[in-house]
Amino acid sequence: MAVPAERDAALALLPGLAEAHRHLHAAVWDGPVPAPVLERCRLRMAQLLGARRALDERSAAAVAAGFDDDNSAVARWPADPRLDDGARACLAFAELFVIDPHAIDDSQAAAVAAAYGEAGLVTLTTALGIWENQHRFDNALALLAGSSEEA
Amino acid sequence: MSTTPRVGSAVPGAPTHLGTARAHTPELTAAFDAMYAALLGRGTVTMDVKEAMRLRNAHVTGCGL
Repeated sequence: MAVPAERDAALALLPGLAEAHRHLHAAVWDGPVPAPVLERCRLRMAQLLGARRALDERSAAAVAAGFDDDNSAVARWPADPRLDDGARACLAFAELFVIDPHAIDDSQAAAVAAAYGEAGLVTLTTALGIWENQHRFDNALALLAGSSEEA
Repeated sequence: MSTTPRVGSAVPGAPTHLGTARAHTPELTAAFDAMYAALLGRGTVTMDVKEAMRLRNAHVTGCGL
């Protein structure tokens, strides 16, 4: 049987899994880390992993919070004067999470926690884990983008 | 790699471990666990194959848990 070309359709082959997947991805945006910060991290991770489908999506929560950056702006985050220390700490953490999570040091984790609390650090780390899964899922199955709600 | 948890326990009086660290985000953790259960408990891939994949993934990524 061929796998559908669209992410939601592929997940729909397993309805229980699809619902759990949708609920988990939605839960990330309800935590203490601002949605635009999370969205920059999600997109930066997608860039590093070559997840083109994810780069075409925007999370509804981030858009509702005013996020409208294009992908090139996300890539230039170190030079973006709009970003505060918390956003920078999250983006640096996200990049190392992809490149080498063993290289994350105590100060980088502490910087995220200083900005958004320990709940924020757990939220960010969990979010990065599930986005990495989704990016690799899309890449491995050559899927088209799903709904923005699941981004 | 640090062996000291970077997140404190969210459960008063309890030491920090994976469960008490994740307790900082109970709703997100519940959603994660539901997803994990859906992956492990359903589908046509047998449990022994899933466990072999999980352990192989942990080995490749250097996860000591």
